[in-house]
Amino acid sequence: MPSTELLNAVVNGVTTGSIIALGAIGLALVYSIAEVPNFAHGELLTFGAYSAFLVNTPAAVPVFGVWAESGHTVATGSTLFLLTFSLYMGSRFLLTGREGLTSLPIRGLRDGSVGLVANIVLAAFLGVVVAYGAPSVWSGMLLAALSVGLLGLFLEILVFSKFREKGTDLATTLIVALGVAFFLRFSLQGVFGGGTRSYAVADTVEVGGFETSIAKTKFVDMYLSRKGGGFELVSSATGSTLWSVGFGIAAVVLVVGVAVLLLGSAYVLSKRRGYGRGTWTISTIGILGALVVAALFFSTGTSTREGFYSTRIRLSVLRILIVTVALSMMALLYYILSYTRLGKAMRAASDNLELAQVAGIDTRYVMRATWLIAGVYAGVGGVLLGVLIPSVTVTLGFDLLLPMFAAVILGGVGSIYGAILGSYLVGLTMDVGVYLIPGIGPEYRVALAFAVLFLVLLVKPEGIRGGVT
Amino acid sequence: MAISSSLVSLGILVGIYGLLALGLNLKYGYTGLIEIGHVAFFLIGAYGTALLMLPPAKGEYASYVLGLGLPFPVALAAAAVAAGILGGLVSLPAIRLRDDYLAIVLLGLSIILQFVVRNEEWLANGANGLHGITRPLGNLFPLTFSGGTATGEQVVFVAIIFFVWLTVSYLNRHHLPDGRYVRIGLVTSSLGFGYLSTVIDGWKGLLTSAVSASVAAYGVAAAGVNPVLIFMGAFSIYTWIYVLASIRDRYGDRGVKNWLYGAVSSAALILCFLPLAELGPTGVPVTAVCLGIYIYLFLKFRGHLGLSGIRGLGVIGVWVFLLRYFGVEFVTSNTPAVTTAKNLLWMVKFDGFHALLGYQRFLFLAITGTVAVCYIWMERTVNSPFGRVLRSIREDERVSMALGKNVFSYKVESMVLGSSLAGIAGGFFAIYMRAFSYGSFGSQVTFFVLLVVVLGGTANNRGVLLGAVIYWGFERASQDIASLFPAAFSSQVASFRRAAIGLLFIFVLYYRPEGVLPERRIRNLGGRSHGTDGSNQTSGRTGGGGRATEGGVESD
Repeated sequence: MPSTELLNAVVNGVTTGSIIALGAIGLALVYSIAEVPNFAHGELLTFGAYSAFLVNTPAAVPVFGVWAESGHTVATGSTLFLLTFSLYMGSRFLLTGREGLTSLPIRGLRDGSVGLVANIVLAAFLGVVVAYGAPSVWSGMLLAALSVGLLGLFLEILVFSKFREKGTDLATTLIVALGVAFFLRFSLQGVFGGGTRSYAVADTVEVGGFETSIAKTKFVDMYLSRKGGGFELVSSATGSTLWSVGFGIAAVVLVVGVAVLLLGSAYVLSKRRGYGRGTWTISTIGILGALVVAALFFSTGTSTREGFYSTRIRLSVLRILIVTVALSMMALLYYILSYTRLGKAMRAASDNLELAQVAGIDTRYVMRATWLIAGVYAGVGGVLLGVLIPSVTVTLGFDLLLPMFAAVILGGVGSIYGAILGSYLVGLTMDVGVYLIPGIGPEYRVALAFAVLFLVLLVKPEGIRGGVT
Repeated sequence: MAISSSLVSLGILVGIYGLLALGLNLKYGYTGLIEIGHVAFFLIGAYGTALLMLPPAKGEYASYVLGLGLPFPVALAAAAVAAGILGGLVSLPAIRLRDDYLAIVLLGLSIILQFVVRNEEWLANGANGLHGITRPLGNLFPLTFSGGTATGEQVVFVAIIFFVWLTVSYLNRHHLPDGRYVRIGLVTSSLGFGYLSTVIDGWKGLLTSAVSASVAAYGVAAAGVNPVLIFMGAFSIYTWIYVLASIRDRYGDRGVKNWLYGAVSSAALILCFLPLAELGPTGVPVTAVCLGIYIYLFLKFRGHLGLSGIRGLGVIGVWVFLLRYFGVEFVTSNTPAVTTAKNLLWMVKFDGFHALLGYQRFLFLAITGTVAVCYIWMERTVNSPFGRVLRSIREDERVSMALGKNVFSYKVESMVLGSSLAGIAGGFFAIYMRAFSYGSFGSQVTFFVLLVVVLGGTANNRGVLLGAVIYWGFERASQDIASLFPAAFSSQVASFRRAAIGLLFIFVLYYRPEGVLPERRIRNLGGRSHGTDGSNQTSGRTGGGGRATEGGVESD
């Protein structure tokens, strides 16, 4: 039986990195655009994690639990609907004032009456999704995203914009953020109590008629021998093999060779012809997908259980979902920053706030939108973290603050993509480091993140992408 | 426990936080370093002192390194030096960079250190923490003087009197020639010995006053009278007179009417919580309504009452303290007169009618003396040329660099000094607690100390000490209120109490970022005038500034 080794640690690191990235994105955005070193960002994650309990286990939420004592009732559903509806409408209103309610920044929907209807329809749709999806964690995540987004707006409007108007320096802003963190953390503790909670995640989900267990861990065993190699999917509960596939050495060489050839030529072509990064990404995904199909075609069906090298990866559908959600959030961010007016305005404000202002960019709106986005990402990140760990305490987000800051500084303050890259590096360091360095347990993961931070400051304080935006 | 004992333990905490705040003030207030990992050096001080003082580890449940069994002063000094060195080392990579990077590194350090002492069993007994720390001179207390012949007790007692009077005389030294300071006349004529320090110049005067007080103490002890009662009682009364005189000094412009308004207003505030104490759970909404009405009325009429602004709040605070300390005790006690007398003589511990000096009170004196010494040290530091460079770095480090100052080394020195003060605070924390674990060193401690500094007055050492008093007063008052709530709510009330502190912090930063006592501006650097010429105190209200110890400095 193979044991978990480096590859498993790498997979863990990628999962951790994905969640750190969701937090680091917001941290980096607020850092570079609003110029707030937001030490309260961890608490935004915590806030998100706790607000998902309203959907997931409403009976255990104080006050709210009164309506929900008998489980998923009409009362809870309609409360959730109204809550989601007003969260959405509230964010729209706070973002751009009254006209925010009557328009959507989408072509054709900027007009008054159409925009209002569109907003109501969208809010109602979100409300229905949250209310109907309860008590799923995923619809809780939607609620968390909306509520932390609104919280971010509140922080900007009630606290940080006030201090900015006073011309407060960076040091004081940092300390204000500490005060905000303190207030948020202990308010949450006051409402929810100091204990540990966890989400009720459904073990099985029906996909296309098949019952798939998503929360249960599965092992992916890999074997490599002189004749070839193979994969085996093993259930952690029963130890029985669920699925296995093997390859002859020739097939492996062929498939890998073709993959390298195709990807290389795609890269060279895209450089020479000047296609955008998007085209290259899409063609890469296409080629890889085709290769997986080809690999399955060449496979021998069963894997040999012996070889000179074998390793095991612990996986669950839930983990894959976490990474997928995080990656799609990043893709969304890429879209927003690259292709929308808001994104361009944000990048301009990040480069030079005064210049952006002179150029006619509504910087107040940009600030608020930045906090909103930071909040949404933190909310999603918090819920994913709560699902992964899976115990939620009031220090959930604060414990991740150091890795998030390490990621932002490693990436280079001011660079959002740098922060994402930094997040994965920090995540990998945390998990791979715990595996590789003898004598330190998982309780030192945060310390490893700190070590990365310390090293970066010593060696390359401007970060990987410092100066490049 | 009598309320005077809880005042003493509160005083010890004020002293520890005062030391922490003095250290943070040097780093944050004067040098402008964003220090949000101050607790790390507090931890080093506490663990360092404890590990050096403890006997070698033995047994199954205790494993730690060192265990040298050193005496307290040596251990404290070593731990303070260690904290200072760590403070310098950790700032080396980050201090050249942006301010916020240093902040993150320091926060990280404090978190990681807490992690390490929690998880490493061999280092300092892991999560169970250290316990069994022996208190220095602990076997001599409580001082009872039952027979009047115990030499050891007499020596300790005389030593205490000596150091108390040295401190007291030093603090009063500069006031007397300036006739305007009424409190000095009162205090010195009531106790005599401090007067010597003003008649005879310099350290000889201080020494004379301390020696003569000690001799008198020995005489009383030898005569068989209980000297604890006499001297500590006198000292207690001295403190009350001192405090009253200071209040009169500061709030002298308030008329009798204002004080009466203040009394009524604070009595009303305390009465608002009566339903909570008497009615149980139903009292919560009643109290909330009462408080709402109170706050509305207060905000509406504060101008008429002469209670607006920080100084108005000060009047209320004084009254709340007096009512809580004497009033509530008087009403609830069976023997009001005796209780009041005991509360008045707060430096004496009463065992029935037997007067003795407990260890708490001794520790209080020791810590207060240390705070006084450190305060003077810090004042001298920040008013020296070194301190002026630190301030210039805070304002604009390019200017100091252009003037040829090595900004980097000044910053590191500031870190070392400030951190070692936190180390001293940690050492006292260790002997005050005697047993502690990693939980006492969470990052919230840094936050509280930061609040103390900002609240009291950034870059004003007197301010931050006042801040420590206000913070612990607030803490104690809110604990009192929290204890009135039904037990079912206690953990929630505790959390919301913390949340309220966070909110208070943001409000202070927004509405009064300079704190209660703002930083004093340096008026001229050339003629540093010593002595107490009243020329720079032309206005009647100096707001606590303009003390002659800071010659050439005027109030803002």
